Amino acid sequence: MKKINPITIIENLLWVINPCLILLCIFSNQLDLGKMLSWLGNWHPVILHFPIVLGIFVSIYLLLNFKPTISEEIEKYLFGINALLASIVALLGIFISVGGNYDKSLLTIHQWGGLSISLIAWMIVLIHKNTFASNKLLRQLVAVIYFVTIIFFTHKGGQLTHGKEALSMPTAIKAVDSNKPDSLLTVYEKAVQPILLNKCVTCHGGDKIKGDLQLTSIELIKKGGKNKDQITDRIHLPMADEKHMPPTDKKQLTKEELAILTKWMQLGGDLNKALKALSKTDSLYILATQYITPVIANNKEQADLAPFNNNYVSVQYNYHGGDKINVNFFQGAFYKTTYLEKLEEIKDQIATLNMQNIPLNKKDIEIIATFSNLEKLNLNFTKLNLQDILALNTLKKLQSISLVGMPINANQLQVLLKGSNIKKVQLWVNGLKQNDIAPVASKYPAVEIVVGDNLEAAILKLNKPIIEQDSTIIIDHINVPLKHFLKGVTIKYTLDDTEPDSITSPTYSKPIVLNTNTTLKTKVFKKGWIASDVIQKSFYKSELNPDNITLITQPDSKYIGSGGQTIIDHELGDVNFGNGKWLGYMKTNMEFVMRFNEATSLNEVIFNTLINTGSYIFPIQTIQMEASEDGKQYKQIQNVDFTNITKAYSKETNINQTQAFKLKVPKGKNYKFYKFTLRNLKQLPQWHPGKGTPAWVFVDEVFFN
Amino acid sequence: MNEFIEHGLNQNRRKFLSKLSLGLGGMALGSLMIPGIFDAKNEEDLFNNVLPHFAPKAKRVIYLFQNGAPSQLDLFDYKPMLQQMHGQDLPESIRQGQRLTGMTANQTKFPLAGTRFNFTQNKNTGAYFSETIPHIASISDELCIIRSLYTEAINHDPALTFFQTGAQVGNRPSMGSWISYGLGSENKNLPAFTVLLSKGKGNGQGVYSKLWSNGFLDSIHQGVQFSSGDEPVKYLSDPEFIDRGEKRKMLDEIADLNEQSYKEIGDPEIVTKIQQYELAYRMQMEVPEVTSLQNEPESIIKMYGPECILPGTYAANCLLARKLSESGVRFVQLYHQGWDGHNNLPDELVGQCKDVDQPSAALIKDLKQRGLLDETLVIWGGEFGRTNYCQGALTKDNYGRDHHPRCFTIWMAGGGVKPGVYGETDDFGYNINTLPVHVHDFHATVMHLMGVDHEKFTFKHLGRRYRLTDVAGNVVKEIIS
Repeated sequence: MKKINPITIIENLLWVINPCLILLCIFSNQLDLGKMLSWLGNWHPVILHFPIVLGIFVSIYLLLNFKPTISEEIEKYLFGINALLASIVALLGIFISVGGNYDKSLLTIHQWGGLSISLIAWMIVLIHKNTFASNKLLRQLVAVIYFVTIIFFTHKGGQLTHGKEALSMPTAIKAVDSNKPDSLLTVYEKAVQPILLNKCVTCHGGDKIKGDLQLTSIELIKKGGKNKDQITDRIHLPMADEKHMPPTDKKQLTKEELAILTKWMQLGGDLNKALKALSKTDSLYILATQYITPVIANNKEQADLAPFNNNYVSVQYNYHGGDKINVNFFQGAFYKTTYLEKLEEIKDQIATLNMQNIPLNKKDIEIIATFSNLEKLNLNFTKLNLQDILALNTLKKLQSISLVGMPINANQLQVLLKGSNIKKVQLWVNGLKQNDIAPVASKYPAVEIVVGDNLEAAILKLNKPIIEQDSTIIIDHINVPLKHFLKGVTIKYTLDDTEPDSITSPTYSKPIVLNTNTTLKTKVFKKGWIASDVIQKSFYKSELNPDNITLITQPDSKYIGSGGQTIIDHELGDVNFGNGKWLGYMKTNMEFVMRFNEATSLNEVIFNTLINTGSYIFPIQTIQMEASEDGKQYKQIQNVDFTNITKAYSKETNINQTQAFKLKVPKGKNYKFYKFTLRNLKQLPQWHPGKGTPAWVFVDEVFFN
Repeated sequence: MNEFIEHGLNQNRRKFLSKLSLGLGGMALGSLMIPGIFDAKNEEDLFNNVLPHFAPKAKRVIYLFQNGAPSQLDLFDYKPMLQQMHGQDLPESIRQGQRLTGMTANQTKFPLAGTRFNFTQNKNTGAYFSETIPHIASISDELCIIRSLYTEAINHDPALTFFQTGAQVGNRPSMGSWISYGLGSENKNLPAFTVLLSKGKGNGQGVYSKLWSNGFLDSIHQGVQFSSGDEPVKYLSDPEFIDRGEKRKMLDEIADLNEQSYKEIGDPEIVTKIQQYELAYRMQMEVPEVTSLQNEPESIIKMYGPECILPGTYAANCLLARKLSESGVRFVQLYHQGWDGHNNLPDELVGQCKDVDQPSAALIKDLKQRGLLDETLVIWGGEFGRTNYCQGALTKDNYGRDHHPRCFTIWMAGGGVKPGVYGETDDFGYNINTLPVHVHDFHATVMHLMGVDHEKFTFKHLGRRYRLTDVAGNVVKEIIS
């Protein structure tokens, strides 16, 4: 059996470990290690010194290019072991980096640097056998690169863990006993230290010291960081500033915390200043005594809120990584007190609670009164009385409370505000006036009391009723429902062309039935409101249907509807002239012939037309009616001039509505053929933007009676 | 070739290959430690899990879109210079070759048109308001007015699409869809993104459903349009004789079938479909309550104006927007058409303002008196501005204005914005003098107010990551309180 050469084993191991390293480096943020490997990682700082020393030795050896060289065999071992150790250390380094809370950018540099050290060491082994041994220049070049790489990148690693010794500093930061009464605490213990502990020392103290700032002792705090930057230099910078602290992806300081740190630093950052030594009116005293350490889960992982959520309760963190929790309740009909009880597990973290429209009782309020860090509470329309919620007075962090819809009594309101820190109250309710709460407002000038607008007394005009019948054509009869959306209005109407009034006109109660040509006028009345405008609509009886229609002049190609049938199909177009239910003429008059199989007498002909002055659609100017027995010889029987309608228009006119033109037919003979000529306005008036050009005529229906 | 050398090379090749297999083994070893390295992992889940990135100032948005582009020169951006130079030609030094629309490209003259309206000034903030919007002027202490917005688009559709989706070409998700995707719904019984439409009497421009499209996001993030009439959400109510128990059973069975076909085909839209059915089922309970406006007290009706009880009006939509928003809808998008005043602008503007002024102001006041304004961001504005020169015939008190992308005004209120005036245009109201705000900047700022870093909030589609602000956008920090 062939004896196994240790060198071969080393070389093969290098072939395994190095590709593995490359892969792990690329996906280092997705690594998931078992306990064993994580433990192995802890050996990284222990054995890393071997390949550093060995590596430096190798590079110096290569650089100096000793003559005569040590034996090739020993050289092989030297390079091989060096490369193996480098690769193992790099591998362990990756293991230790997973899960460790290190500076990301520094870590990345160190990680890839470690990889390069390992790869260069491997390369020295690979090329040693061939050209390397004889090429002095190459040897020296590689030596220099290797040396620089080792020094530079291992130093980065040093920076990562630098600060281990800080753990043994005598004034190491340590949380104070939370049971100690305020009177025995220093300002530092009461307010400053908790802030530093919560938001600063993960990076500036303990395991890491970023930016050379270490917040573990007062000397170090005062020394500041890089460029002597004090904490107060950085925390006030705008978020967008690169130098802003804490970093944007970390928990930010609150306004109070900013104020506490600033004021304390202004006082000289005295570590031993007792809280009670400050005047009770001193702003630092007030801030410090009110400061409550935020509740933080030790492992920094946010607790899963899923169990508290359901279709009617939404429980969410203020933001990813935040401590504060927002709670919203929806759909009062499904509300259960148990939903609220369940929240007691996270009650110290609840910052906002919205219970708008949820029917609550006193028991619910008692639960809410234990949410000691609640800052904003919405109790709009919760069917409670002010008396019921006085228990909330104990919520010292509460800043804003909304009580919309709740009957308010100035005395009770004072009880609620007394001793509380509420800064804003929303109170709007029917009938409440600014005056009603004047005594409270004068007693608590710092509290913003929003009463809102109360406009019941304002007198406004009602809007018009709605005629819920689209058709205006009566074939036999037609139902016309009327509607108004405001509660408690009276709808009055007339059918005789007179103005409806509030006394004599009939009151609408059920749909009106019409069976003859009628103009319906209607308006609404309500106490405390100005009556609406009148709305009117004409309904036409269509008694006779012609047997045939022939268009003599063709409509404009854009508005051809369905040809002649359009105007006898009992389908009306609305004010939208482009909907294909209209015939439009502009270049010519509209001329058409109606044929009845039996000679028929006509009393009245009605043309339903559109007027839209903005779109150049104007009233018909004249209508000429001719009759014939054989369809060849026509004689004029009527000619009506409507030009006055157009003449009454002015530049103020802006009409878009349908309008009927009635033609009374003089009594006379019965005919089979009737021919109509509708003349359009040939020149738009001077005031119109289209002055001088012809106007349109739009017709959607003709009725014969 | 020398056979010895060849032999040596062979030897190396063989060696190399055998060593390579060792290397592959090493990589295989390493891959054991990286779970899911060979799975196509949904990276977007990672993004979703970290939202909001920081504490949001606003939890909800109500966007009152004034479709057609209201004239900033007749509403907010008071320019006495234009009144003095009324009828004179716009100097070329000001226009600087700005491209024109097809509607005024043939005009040989560009006579300046001073506004017909009188303006009042808020002494605290310096903001100007024309006499056509007295109600909005009355709440001016709440408003953050940006006079220096600008866009690249000069026609309605691209400009509108740009404002809604961050791109002029309509295949991207709407702003509301992004918010829905990123932050989800507060109230599980309502969609996170809803849309309300209304029409004024002025010259109108179309709005299309592409504006509230989910683009490449999951279709559950599409805006849900609430329409006027008996059925605010189409096809939501059950047919007669089907009770909720039956319906529940039916949905469960359908979900079973859908899950089966999802297992077979793996189309994510099937999952969306199941979610949509469930949402619709829950909406059946919530929507009638939220959309009924008749139970509002009379003083509220008087505040929004009597029109607010007429479904489909802007006033009704404002009231509805408040109700939806307070019920936890993240993004309520209104569109009010009719601002496209190419001709007869002053008269049309008066009509539009009559529709919009009182309800817009009422919405702000109503939110405020309920304690909701500080967590709700209200945005009011169009897709671009209007020119300082006249389109068509100019008379003393009648004029038209063409599209103007170089500067226009929008305002915001509540939700963490600082009241005041931001940005300034030149005396002609044609170019921006200071503090320009691009549409992308506007998007970045709104996202920021919602607690979202617009640069980190992306979605990978067709091989590249997209964001609402694409590759641009800076948060306008100065307007954030």
